[in-house]
Amino acid sequence: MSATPDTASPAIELIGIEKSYGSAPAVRHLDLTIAQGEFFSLLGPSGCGKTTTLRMLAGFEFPDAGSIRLEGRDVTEIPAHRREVNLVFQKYELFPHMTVRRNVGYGLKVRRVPRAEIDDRVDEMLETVGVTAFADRRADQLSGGQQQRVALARALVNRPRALLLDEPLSALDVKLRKRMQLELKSIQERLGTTFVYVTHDQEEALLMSDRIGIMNDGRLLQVGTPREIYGTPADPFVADFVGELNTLQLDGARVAIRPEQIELGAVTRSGGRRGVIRARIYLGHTLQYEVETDLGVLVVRSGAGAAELEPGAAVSVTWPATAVIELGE
Amino acid sequence: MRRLARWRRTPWASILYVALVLLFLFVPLAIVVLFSFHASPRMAFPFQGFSLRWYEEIFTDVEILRAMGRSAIAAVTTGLVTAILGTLAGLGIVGLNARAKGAVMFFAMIPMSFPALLYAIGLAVYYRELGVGFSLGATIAGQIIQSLPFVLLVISATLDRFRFSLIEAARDLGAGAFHAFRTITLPIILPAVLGSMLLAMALSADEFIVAFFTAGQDKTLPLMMYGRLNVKLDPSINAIGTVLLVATSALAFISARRTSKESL
Repeated sequence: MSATPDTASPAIELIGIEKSYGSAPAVRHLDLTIAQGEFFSLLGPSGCGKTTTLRMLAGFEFPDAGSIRLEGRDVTEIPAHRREVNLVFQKYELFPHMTVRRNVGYGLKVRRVPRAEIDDRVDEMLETVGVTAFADRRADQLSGGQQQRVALARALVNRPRALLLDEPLSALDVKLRKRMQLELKSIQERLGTTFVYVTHDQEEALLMSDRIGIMNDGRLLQVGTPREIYGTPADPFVADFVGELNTLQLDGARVAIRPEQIELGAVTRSGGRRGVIRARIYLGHTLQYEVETDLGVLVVRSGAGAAELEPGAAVSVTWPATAVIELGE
Repeated sequence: MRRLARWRRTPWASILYVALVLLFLFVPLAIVVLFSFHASPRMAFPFQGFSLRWYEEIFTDVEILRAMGRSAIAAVTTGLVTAILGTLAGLGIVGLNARAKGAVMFFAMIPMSFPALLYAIGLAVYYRELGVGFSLGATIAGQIIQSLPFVLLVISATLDRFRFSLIEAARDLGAGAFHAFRTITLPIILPAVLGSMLLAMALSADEFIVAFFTAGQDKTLPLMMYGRLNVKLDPSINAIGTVLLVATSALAFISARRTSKESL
């Protein structure tokens, strides 16, 4: 497991942050505390304010109201080049006219770190992210995945108080993305650096994060561990955004049940609702059924190993009480 | 049928067209170069053997050497000043919105489309009214304004493709605004800046009209050539022309190499 986040000394505090562009609000009254060494994700659809929030943390944008603290120190007005955080850009933004080594050493050289120390720290960081073999290549001669690693090294080598990542894996193909997710997580655990990770991919956020903050329309809707977010979403938007849902009326209340938590069984079984399989879709790792019940059509998923049910078959539909998510109004 | 297919395969019409274009473009140049090596002062065929006598003549003629010196000073000064002004202007323009950018570029391009003769006459009147008189400096100032649009076009096209988020990356890594410019922006646009500088130098080296009206006693090489042609058809003109041709086409060639390398 990761180094336990130290909640006693927060790495980042955002207090009452407001930001708008002209008359369009981008971030509305955002309060958030991120612990030392935490892998924190800001998750939300595009335009929800997560990137604006990250850019305010980086010092590229400044809040209209509220304050930002970095390890207890107020940095609200401090511009990017004097803030001890580093950003990994969505499109990496490696300097094309420099070698990998010079790219990674750029921040240290700007800060006038002695030459020998720069060399040592750069070598060590190239090793950490696994690009030692390309150290003397020009940055524009690398593949997407390699550029990603170099961008990570260029930021981390400065030992920032927090590393900010703006959808850093979105430009990679699925397979590479999956591998980089695990690698990023393991680098973060090894270094113990606080990561603030912006993404619109809920699976990615659930997989990597210690905690997730869900944003929509400039508001932070819920902050919690992946389990909390997935299991007890605070509102319908969160519930829907972090996974698929069946929403239904049950005993007069609006509730939601995740497709993989519904069980299908033989009709002879006592209890449960009656249903009829309407459609079956093969998804590789799962089978998805559409089941018609008196509550409406339910989407049900089961592992591909389970016995396949034929469309038209009558089934009994059950779910554990814990699977029911109260949606409220 | 076979014959038709073969006819189609070889685009004779295109080949002929290109050959004619090259013929008309380059034969006059070739004649100048050829007669610059002519052993006889006669500028007519039949050709009577090779000699370097015209080169010897121009490189021992103090007046011509002085004119060459002035042209060199004009070219280097024009190149440096327009490159610096063009880069600063380009950096200023790139941040503007589309409408403001269009307006600024329109005014910046006026010297390129304005008749050079009228411009030169206006410049001469202006200098006289100001009382600054005619000199090499006056000519250089005029040439700078004339070549600025070309430089600005090259540089602003380059800056349009420049990813300014690279500057953000540099700032994020601790670089101040000027440091980011010096270590990121400048090295990336430098090939275009140098290329356009060489272009401005080439434009200045064979510029005639502005120099004619504003140089006064400080005759540049093209003025010197014109002056000699007025007196008689002097074969040493061919040698001067060839020197000028080699110099300006070398500049243009390096300029093209530089600006195309930058896009790689």
